[in-house]
Amino acid sequence: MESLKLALLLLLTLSQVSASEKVVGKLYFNQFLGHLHKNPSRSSSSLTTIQCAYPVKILEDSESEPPKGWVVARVGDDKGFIESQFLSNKRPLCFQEEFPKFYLNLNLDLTDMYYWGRLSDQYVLEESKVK
Amino acid sequence: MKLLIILLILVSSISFSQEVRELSKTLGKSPKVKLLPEEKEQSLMDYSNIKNVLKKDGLVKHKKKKTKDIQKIKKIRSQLELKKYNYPDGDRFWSFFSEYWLVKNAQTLQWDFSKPQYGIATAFRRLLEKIGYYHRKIKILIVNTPNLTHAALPGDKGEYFFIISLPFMRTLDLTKVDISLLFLEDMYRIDMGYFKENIKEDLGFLGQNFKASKFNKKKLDNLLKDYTRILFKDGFSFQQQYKVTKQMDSVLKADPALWSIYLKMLNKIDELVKDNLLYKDYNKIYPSPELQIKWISPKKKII
Repeated sequence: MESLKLALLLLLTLSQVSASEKVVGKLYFNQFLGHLHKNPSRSSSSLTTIQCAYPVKILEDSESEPPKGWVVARVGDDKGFIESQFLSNKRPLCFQEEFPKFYLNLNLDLTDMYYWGRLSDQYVLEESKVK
Repeated sequence: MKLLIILLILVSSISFSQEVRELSKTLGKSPKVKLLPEEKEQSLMDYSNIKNVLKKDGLVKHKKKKTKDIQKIKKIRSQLELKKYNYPDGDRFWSFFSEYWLVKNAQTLQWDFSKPQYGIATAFRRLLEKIGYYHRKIKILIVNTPNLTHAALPGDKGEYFFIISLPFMRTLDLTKVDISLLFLEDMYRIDMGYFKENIKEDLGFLGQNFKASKFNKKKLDNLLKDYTRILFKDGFSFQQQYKVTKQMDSVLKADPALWSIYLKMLNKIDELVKDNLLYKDYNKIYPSPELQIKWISPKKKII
C-alpha cells in the first residue's frame, strides 16, 4: 500500500513538471565555453559548463519567466538560464572544431574550462559602428 | 585447255572466298545464325564485344568519372584529416590565445567577481565612433587587482581585449572618458603592433601543421610567459611610448576638450605613481606619464 502511494506521488510530481515545462525549440551555444546559470544573472552560480555548438533545448516555463535577454534552457538533466546573445539558430563554426587536435593538446582541465566559461559572463561587449 | 582449267579454278575460288566473307559477316552480325557452342563460348570470353556495348551505354565514361570522384574525395578527406593537426594561423590565434592567458591568470588578475555596469564600454564605443574608428569589437574585463592597471591584448582582426583595474579606477577616481582615453592609448599599442613586437617567442609555428612532428606545448607556455612579462614587468619602450603619445596628441587635438582631459589624466597618473607605492611599477610598463606630459605639452616660446 505504501509503495503504491509513493508511486502515485511520483507520477503526480512528474506530470506537474512536464505540464509547467515545454520544449519550444533548439538553439546552438555560440561562445567558446559558457555556463548554464541557476538564476538569470551573470553572477549566478553555474549548473554546468557548455561547449561551443552544443544544442540547447529552449523551454517555455510557466513557473520561471526569464527577464529580457535571458532564456530558460535545459542542458542534459539541468534546467537553468542562458543569455540569449550566446545562442544562435545556426550551428556556429567553433574553434574546437576548426583546430581539434590543437585544442585537445592544450589539455584544459575543469578549472580552465570553468574560468573560460566565466569569461563570457564577465566581459562587457560593444562594437563601434558607422552612424 | 590448260589455261581454261586454271581460269575455272580461279573463278570458283574467288566466288568461294566471297561466300566465306559474306558468311562470316552474317555470323558476326545476325543473331539468327546459329553459332557453335565453342563460338558462343568464345564470344562470351571476348570482352571487346561487351566493351563496345558499355561504350555505347556510356558506362565506361561513368566508371571513369566515378573513379575520378573517389580519388577526389579521398584527397579531400586526407587534406581534412591533415588540417585537423594545424596550429591556428595568425587570423584565428590571437583572440583565442589572449583569452587563454586570461584564463590561466584568473587567480592573479581576480576578474571573476560580481560588479555593476559602469558604462565604460558604451563610453569607449562612443569615443571610437566620434574619432572615426568603426567596426571595432571591444571586450572589456574589469580586474580586481592593482597589479595590472590597464592594458589591451591582441585579438583577431578588429577585435580587442581591454583590461582595467578597479582599484586603479577608484584610486584615481577615473571618469568613463578618462578610461576611454586610456583604452585608446592601449588600442594604438595593439594597432601599431607593439604588443606583438615585444613578444620574444618565435611565432613561425602559427598556421603550421604538426601531424608529422610533435605538438609543441612549450611554444605556447613560452608565449604565456611573454604575455606576463610584457604586462607585469617589461612593458613598452620609450620609443613605442613616444609614438603612441604623439598619435594620441595628433588625434585629440581636433577636440580640445578631450585633449585637455587627456592631459589632466596624465597628470593624475603621474602624481599617483610618484606618491603611491602600490603603483610604483607603472613607469616600467608605460614610461612615463611625466615624459608623456612633456611630449605633448606645447613648447614655450622664448622671446
